[in-house]
Amino acid sequence: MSKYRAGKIINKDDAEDLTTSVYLAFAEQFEKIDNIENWLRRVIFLTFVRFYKRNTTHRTYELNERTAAENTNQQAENSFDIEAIRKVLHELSEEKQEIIQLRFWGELKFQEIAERLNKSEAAVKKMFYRTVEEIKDRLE
Amino acid sequence: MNELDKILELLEKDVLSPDEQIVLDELLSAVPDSGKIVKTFNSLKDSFGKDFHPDEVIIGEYVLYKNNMLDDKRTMLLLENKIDDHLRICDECKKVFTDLNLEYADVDLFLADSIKETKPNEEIQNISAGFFRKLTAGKFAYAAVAALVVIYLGMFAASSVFVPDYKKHAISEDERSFYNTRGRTSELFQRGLNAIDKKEYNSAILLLEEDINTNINESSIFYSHFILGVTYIQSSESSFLGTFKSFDKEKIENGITNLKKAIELNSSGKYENLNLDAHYFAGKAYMLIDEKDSALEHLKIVVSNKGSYYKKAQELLDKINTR
Repeated sequence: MSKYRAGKIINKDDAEDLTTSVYLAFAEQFEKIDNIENWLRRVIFLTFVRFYKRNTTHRTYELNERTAAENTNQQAENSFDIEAIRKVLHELSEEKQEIIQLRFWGELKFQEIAERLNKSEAAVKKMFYRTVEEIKDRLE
Repeated sequence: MNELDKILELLEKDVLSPDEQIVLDELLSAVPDSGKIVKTFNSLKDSFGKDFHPDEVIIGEYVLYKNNMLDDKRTMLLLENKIDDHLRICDECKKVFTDLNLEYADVDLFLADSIKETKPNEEIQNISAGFFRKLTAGKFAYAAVAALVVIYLGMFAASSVFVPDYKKHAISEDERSFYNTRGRTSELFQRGLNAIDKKEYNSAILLLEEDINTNINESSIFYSHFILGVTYIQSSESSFLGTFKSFDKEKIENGITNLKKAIELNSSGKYENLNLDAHYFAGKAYMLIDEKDSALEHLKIVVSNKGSYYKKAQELLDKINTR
């Protein structure tokens, strides 16, 4: 991983962090790996994707002018500012962001989200409710 | 479940029964913080409806899904149409997809190279292990090896006799100079050629497709279609221990589609030879999937215009005509 990223990531610490993430993933999953080559492809790539996500502008709460204008016009008593909501969302843990995104944007059922996260449907529902409440508290 | 959870459970429903509506109204008037939770829930719903961009991890998984590298495809099957629709209208997310797809191609290339580097040692270990096993297994091992050699030689002979020459290789050694046509200078195109040099055909396909998607309006893009077409054909080949070659029909058809696109886009008349080469490879590809009438059309063009593969096209035509 260090060898691979040496030319692309300027900060050596970042390269080492990514390498450590791959080792940790291996330590957690080595019993379930069928094809090490494909597993490495997926893990190296997704580790980089998470790095990319942390280091790029957060598109999820970049509003375009049209939306911003609509939002200002519709700023009613019964809704929070969308930009504020999206900023709060980004501060949540990855798992909570994922549940909220898959439920509201992806329109997935709780059962479908539960299968993806290897959790029970009840646990996902509970986490979803807690997350909405956490967002409410943070917005206050 | 606390009362706020009950409110959220009811808000989640698209349609409430009269009884549920009564329960919700009662909860809303009884629970002190209920107004804020409704406000948060509605705002979240709005926030995901308006110009929401799926996050990088979802797009990254979509890249893996498109490259057939995702282990668990269930979520992506549910989100595929939504992501497709979004990428069609959102330039920002399309750029993220392009960046990540290129990144995946780099990972693929890097791993293929690294694994090649380590294989010789593995082979030495396997040979040594095999040697020691043979020592202990004695005669049975020799008998098994001899039987395998005989079976393999039999298959090799049968394959040589029954498989026609043009089906022995998708692209033969003397045709492999096809990509010396370095008529494009884009970075993606050059990286695609480098991947072909290393026989990393799947990576080359990704890079060339990306070149086409990114630079669709460039006048020299027909070169990318040409190389992509031939690379698809090259990558369609598989065999059992070097005998009885088979060809992936879907890849062959993708190859032909790209060669036809190259011919269609290369209409200036300046690079006629490239079109004739494209006709030759399209004709040969049709032969590989036994569509001889279509092969005939393309090969005749090569012969009548004396393309660089004129002789080979004539040989293939003779084979069609003698059947």
